[in-house]
Order: sequence, then C-alpha cells, then structure tokens
Amino acid sequence: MRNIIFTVYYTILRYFRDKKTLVTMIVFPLVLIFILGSALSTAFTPSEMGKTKVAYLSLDKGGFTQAFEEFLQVEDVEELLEVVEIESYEEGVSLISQQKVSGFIFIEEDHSLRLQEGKEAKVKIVSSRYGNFRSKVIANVVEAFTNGSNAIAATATLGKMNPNYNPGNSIDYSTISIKGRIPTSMDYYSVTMLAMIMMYGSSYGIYGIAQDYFDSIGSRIKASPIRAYQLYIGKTLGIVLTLTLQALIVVLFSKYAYGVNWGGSIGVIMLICFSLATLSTGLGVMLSMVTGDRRAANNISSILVPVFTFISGGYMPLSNFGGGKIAGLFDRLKLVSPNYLTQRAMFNQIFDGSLKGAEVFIMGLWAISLMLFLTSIMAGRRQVQ
Amino acid sequence: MVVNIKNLVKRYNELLAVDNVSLSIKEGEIFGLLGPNGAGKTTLINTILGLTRFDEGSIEIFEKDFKKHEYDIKKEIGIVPQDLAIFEDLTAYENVDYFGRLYGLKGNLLKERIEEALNFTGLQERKKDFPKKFSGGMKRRLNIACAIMHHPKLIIMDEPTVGIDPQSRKMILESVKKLNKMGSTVIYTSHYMEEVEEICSNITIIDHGRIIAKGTKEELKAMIAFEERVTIQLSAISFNLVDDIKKIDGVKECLLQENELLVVSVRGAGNLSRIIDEVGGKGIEIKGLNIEKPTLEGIFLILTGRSLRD
Repeated sequence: MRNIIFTVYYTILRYFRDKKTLVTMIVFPLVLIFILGSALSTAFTPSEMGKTKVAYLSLDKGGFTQAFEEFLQVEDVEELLEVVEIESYEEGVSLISQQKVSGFIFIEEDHSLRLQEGKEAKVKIVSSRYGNFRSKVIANVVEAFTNGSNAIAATATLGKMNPNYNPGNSIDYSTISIKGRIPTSMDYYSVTMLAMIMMYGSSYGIYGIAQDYFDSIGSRIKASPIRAYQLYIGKTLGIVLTLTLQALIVVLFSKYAYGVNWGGSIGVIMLICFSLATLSTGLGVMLSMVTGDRRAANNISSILVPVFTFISGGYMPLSNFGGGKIAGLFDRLKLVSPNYLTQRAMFNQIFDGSLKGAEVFIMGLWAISLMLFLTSIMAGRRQVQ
Repeated sequence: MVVNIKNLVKRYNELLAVDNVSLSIKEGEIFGLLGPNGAGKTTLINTILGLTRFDEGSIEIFEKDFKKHEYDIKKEIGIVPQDLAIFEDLTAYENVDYFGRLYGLKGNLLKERIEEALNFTGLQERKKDFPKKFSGGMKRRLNIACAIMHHPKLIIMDEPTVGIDPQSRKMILESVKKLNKMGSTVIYTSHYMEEVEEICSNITIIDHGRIIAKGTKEELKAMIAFEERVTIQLSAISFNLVDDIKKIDGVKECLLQENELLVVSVRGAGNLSRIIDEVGGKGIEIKGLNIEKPTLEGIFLILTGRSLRD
C-alpha cells in the first residue's frame, strides 16, 4: 500500500510541476469556455418558432371539412400554421419537394360520408423528411382536431343533443420558466470543453506508460522490488487524480468567475470527472501499449479526441445535424463517444438534479474504461520479450 | 558466487543477442564486462535483472534462482543504467527519495541514506536543484546516488561514464572503487578499455553475444603477448645497424624511421641486452627506450579483428 501511495504522490507532484501542460489543461478550456460561451450565446436562447407553412386541399364537401376549416381559422391555430390552399394533390407534393411548405394536409372526397357511416376515415398528412420538427407541429394540430371531433361523435352517439365543439379546448398552451432548466451557452460549453480537455488528458496516460515501457527510467523502476501491479495502480491513480484535480479547478473557476451552472452537487460532477479521467487515462495507456510508440499513440489520440468531441456536439449542438440519414448516423455515432456519455451524465445531473439520470452514463464510462485497461494488459503481455 | 550464469541464450527473432554465455562473479569483485556497442552487454545485464526474458540457460544470484526469488534478489541489487534514469522534474533529493522508497526504505533511515548517497556523489550542496540545471557529469552522479542508497550487495553499472567530462569520470571510477571497498560486488560494463583496466579485477570480453575471452587483466594480456615490441630513440644512425640487429636471435622485424628504431621480437626471447650492445657497439647513443605492453584494446583487436569503438 505504501508503494502505491508514494507512487500516486510523486505522479501528481510531477504532473503539477509540468507548467506547460498544466496551463494547457486548465487555462485552455477556461479560455475556450469564455470565447464559445460568449460568442454563441444567442444560439442557446429559446426563440419564437414562427408559423409553419402547410398546404391544404380538401375534396370533401361535407361537415368534417367545414368543421376542420373553421378549426384552422381559430386564432391559436392560426398562430401555428400558415395555410396555403391548393388545387390538386400533385401541387401539394410539388410544394413539399420544392421545400416551399413543411407539410400537406389532404382530405379525401368521401371523408364526411365515411364518418357518418361509421367507417374509417383518415386525414392524410404528407411531409418532407427534411422537416421533422414542423411536420410534427402539423400532425399535432390535425390530431388535436380529430381527437376533439371523435369525442363529439362519441357524445352524440350516447344521445346528447347539439353537442358543441369548441376547438379552443383542444389546444392547451401553457408557459414554463426555463431559467436553470436548460443550459446557457456558457453552461453548455463548460461541460463540453471540460469533457474535451479531460479526453486530451489521455496524453498523460501515453506519457506515463511510455516512460515505464520504453524509457530507461522504466527499466530502473522495474528492476526494483516494487510489484508491477503496485506501480501501475499508483501511476494510473496518480494520473486520474491529477486530471480530476485539474477538472475541479476548471469547474470552480467557471462557477465563480463565469457564473456557470454546475447544478446542486459538485461532488457528483467530480465523480463524473473522475470516471472520465479514468477512461481518458485508460485510452492513453491502451494506445501506448497497442502501438508501442509514444508518437503514434499521441497522433491517434489527437485525432480521436476532436472526433469524439465533434460527434458528441462538443463544438456545437448537433441535434438534427444534416437532417435525415446524417442526423440518424450522428445519433448512433455519439453513443460511442466518451464525451457524449460525460455530457449526458453532467447535464442530467445539473438540470434534472438526480444522480439516477447520470448513473447509466457513468456506468458506460466505467465499462469503456474496463475494456481499455483489459486491452492494455493483453497488449502489454505481447510487448514483454 | 554472487552471480552464476549457465548457458544463457537470448534471441530476438533471428538475432542471437546472447549466445550460450556462462560466467561466475565472486563476492567482492569488480567484474568488467568489455565489448563494443551492440556486443550484447546490455541485453546480458537486462536478463540478469529480469527485465528481458531469456530463452535458455539459468541465472542464479546470491545462490538463489532469480525466477523464484525475484523480489528478494532485487532488494539487494542497485542498477546504474546506461541511459540516465532520473526524473528531470524532481529535485536531486526527491529523486533519491523516490528510489529509496522503491527499495522499502522509510522514516529516519531513509533520510540518513539520502544524505549519505548525496554526500557520496558530491551532490549534497545541490540537493534542492532539478537535474535540468546539472552538467552531464552531475546527472551521472545522481544516477549513481539513486542506485546505491539502499546499500546493495551487488551494483550493476552499465556504461556509467558515457559522454561525461574527465573530472566526473575520475570521480565515478573512484566511487566504484570505494563502493567495492565498502563491500559491494560490482559489475561494470564499458567499451572504454582504460576504465576496465583501471578498476576491474576480472574481465570478460563479449562480442556478438558471445564471450570471446575472460580472466584477470594479466591472464588476458598473456593470451596475446606473442611478441615484444621495443622502440629505441637514437642519437645517430648506421647503415648496417638494421641488418645486424635482424641477425640477433629472436628478432622478427627491425625498422628504422628517422632516428627511431622499432624491434619486434618473439615473446620471451630475452634479447634486449644484445640489442642494446649492438647499438652501443656502433658508437650510437641511446636517447630513449620504450617496451610496449599488450593492452585490452590490443587483445580485442587480435580476437575480433576490429577496434572496441567500431
């Protein structure tokens, strides 16, 4: 145990004496947080979504169409939709393909009649695959109407005379305070830049293992009576604690100097940092062991970290980035990014205030760490000649 | 025996780095391992220290099997690696402290030993300084301080004087002798034959992973002393002198270059007085005389056909 403790102590001491790297690990993220947080603040402020433009064609001349068209003219609905009446189905499709409207509401000729006969009748909504969000607005409006009309039909069937449909009741608007519930740009980049710089901490792992395996000082240490596991636990723990302490400085500075919201429990945030530090150290160790070359390991790390940061939305939020298939691809890719797991864990903790929401992501970080260390051990056995 | 190696073989794929090496090192010896760069000295040292696995043979240290008693054996060994193995970002004191702790020292004993090691290597005054402020020689001395502070029974020094000034080299060689007098057995590898000649009692010459000669200095020199070379500085020359000396029994060759006469004789010919008489008989005054002795460099040259520094 003594061997592990003094190895931890000297590892931390040495890394904190490395002023150049220390500045990079602490000052660099703080500067980035300030620049990105200030420059992109408007991108994170919720804004009016405006009206959704929708094409409309009804071939039905019955009561349903009359009621629906009255519904579309209700003030609350008019605030959401800008209805463009068209002459043909083809025109509607064409407008969508030209991206002039976000969707197309089409009612077939015998819609009202079918309803009266108790048959199934559906309002058709055609939308562009590029307009997911606005298509949902259109669908919600139509759904609100059909739900209401179904309720009236059911009431009438039960015998109540003259049921009146008040469309205003179908859409319920309420406002909530969003302050502290969604991240400001400064909050967002504090989390993402912290995750990024901690991933760059993999260079500590690379350096640490390269020194032990490829430098003369490593030979000297291995020629001493310290057990290999004591050395590696001590060294790894030293690096992990160094990274966690550096993260703590970034968190505290950004909290008090920039007013960043780190939620109610700095302890949980540090637990997440500790988990990511373990992963990042493991990544460095693994790259060093697998490549057997410090420079190659550093090169791979310096490619991986920006990629992980990008796909996790570290540089900019990527919700619906590129739309369609590309957005879907990024949605899947980000799941393998340690940055994403860290960001989700932190955002869940900060804005939901519960450890439960963060737990699964923390466990994800530890699972990846375990895989990295196991890979290192296997590669290490191959290295010893 | 402190070290007993039998039929050691180490291969790196096709390369035979250590080729069936057997050697024994007695307690209290300064054992010299001499050979050019790439001869296999460091590989041999690394196998002794357990840093490199070997393919065949056995190694016993302190009469214990290394594989079975690795940690006990390591406690009694101090290693001074060929390349500097010190932390540039720790002070001299912290460096020695770190390695002292690795060897299980603690408390007051640790503090005493740190001071002792720094005093021994002349770094006491600079103990708070970082090695980056040190000269090459001082770094080498710190390299030694880190190896000796736990009072090892066996000290392995792998080319400890590479790239340093003559003053530091002298100090290091003196410290090796001192450590040996204090009771440590020393394995000293070098490609500087003067160093090995100066401090080592027993020498093994290694090349291409094989032992090509071993013994005391005298034994090794005797192996190659097939001839004796005498150079004589003369006051004047005589045309018949060379021919007359060649007629003396045992003389193999005689050359005259300006006023210097080189006479090569068969070893043990005992003809030096006759050569001097022949010169004096021609009325030539002898201004100087030098009998060349065989060197380890010469031994290596004869055994391998190349110089130690090739």
